[in-house]
Amino acid sequence: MIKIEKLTKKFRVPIEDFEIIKKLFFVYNYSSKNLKKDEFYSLKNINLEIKDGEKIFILGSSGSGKTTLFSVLSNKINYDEGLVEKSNNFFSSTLINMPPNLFPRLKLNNFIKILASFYKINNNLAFEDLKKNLLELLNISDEQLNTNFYEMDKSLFKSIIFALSCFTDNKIYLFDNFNFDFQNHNFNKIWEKFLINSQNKICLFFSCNNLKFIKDNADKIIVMENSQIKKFDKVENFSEEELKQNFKLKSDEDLIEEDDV
Amino acid sequence: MVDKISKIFVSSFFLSKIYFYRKYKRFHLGIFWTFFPTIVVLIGAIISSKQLDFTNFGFEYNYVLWTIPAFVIFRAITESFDISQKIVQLSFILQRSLNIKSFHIFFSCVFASIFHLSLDLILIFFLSLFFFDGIYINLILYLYVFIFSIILSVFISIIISPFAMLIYDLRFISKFLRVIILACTPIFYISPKEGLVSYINNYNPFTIIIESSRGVLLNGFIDEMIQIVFITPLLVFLILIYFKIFSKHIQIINSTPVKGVVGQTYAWVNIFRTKLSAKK
Repeated sequence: MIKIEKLTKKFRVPIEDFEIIKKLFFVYNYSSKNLKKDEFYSLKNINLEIKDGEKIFILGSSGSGKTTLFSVLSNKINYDEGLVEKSNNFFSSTLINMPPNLFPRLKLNNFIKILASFYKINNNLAFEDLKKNLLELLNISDEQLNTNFYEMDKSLFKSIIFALSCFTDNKIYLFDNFNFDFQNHNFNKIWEKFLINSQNKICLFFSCNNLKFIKDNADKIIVMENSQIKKFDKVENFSEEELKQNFKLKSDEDLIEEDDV
Repeated sequence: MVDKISKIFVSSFFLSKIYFYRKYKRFHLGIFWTFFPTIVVLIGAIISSKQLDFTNFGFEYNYVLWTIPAFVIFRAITESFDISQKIVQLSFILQRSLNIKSFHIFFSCVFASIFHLSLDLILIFFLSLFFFDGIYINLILYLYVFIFSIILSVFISIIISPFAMLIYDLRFISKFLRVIILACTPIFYISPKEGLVSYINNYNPFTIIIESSRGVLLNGFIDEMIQIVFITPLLVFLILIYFKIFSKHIQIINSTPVKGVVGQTYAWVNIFRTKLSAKK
């Protein structure tokens, strides 16, 4: 279960060096009620309770606080006030590719090995078996393993990460920028495997923009606006129009129209 | 357990490789330049030992044997400090895509430092072969001091690096440290028995490390070495405690828009995206 009470996170741009130094020395007072100059809320008074087994999609316009919430739940950033109760046994990924100039000659084989080393894979699965299963899921041939990773399709990074999550045993799964080619056969294969692996586990998908996929798979939807939760309800309580108008989600018809253009 | 350790090794080694790739990608003689300062000191020490009679100055051993082991330890301290600063900065770029933990950063700094100084270690091995008969068993003790120096230096560096992400002036500490250690520790000279230099040498913590590295190679287990052996578990304990603090520091830096290209943290993008659209 994830329980969040009165979660608040403020940011300040441009930063005050002295303020950050106070934070690094753990003497900064986070609980000031008034906003200081150049300060703004990224999360304001968030209250949530997510039960085991729920698949939740978090939606909202750009700047509404989705990624900050993801970052707090992934322990990537600290928060100013409030309470977050959750298991630390979680799988999280931003699904953002690494900068290509960091290591351009990295082979796909090594890349998979490196990515796998950052996650807790099921105990009884050796790396060779994991690799075999991943290649099968991703529809990659053995010959392609010696290809430079950055010569491959850009979306492969997130596909590998998402496929890796199918072979982990975590209590919570968190994905930011959850956007794939949802019609793709390979994606559907990974998704089916993921559904089997993530039964009775909490799954949070941030920033997905495919309305049909959300309606087919979500148990609940969280809609965020202006750093706060605007609506948190079961998927059937959201009308298609409500979702489309407020959050610019793309239905399949829209996507087909875009393709035609 | 073995699986877990090997995974930490793979991910930390990856970070080290990125560091080397970033640093030497436009060089043709990358590995040579890592070894260049030691070669210069070695040549200088050989020429000096041929031309000057160091026994008159109180040197009991060949001047090459006096300077090179100490100079390698000096490099272990200063280079590890530099390398760690860079790896911490790099890791903040990668935080966007990967879940890099504090121990990944720490081990990658240690691996990168050992690899960076591997040619120096090989030189020490050959020096031992040249000056002593056969493979000298004291090399193992020397290796202990060498690893201790790297770990100590990486530890100090990761304490400073989150601050250095914001205060650029702190990035010059390594340059300052180099000059201070070089001047205040008896690497190229014998510590005098009295006077100001003797006073500075005695109160300089690096003197113990550098003197003991030289001492163990020449004389085996010496008194100074006992201090290092006793400090080691304390250092390991402090590092383990500091991992918690370092994780908190990583979170704070991740949620801070830092200046400069290297400091483009994961949160940097989010913050600007938030500010541009949210009119609160």
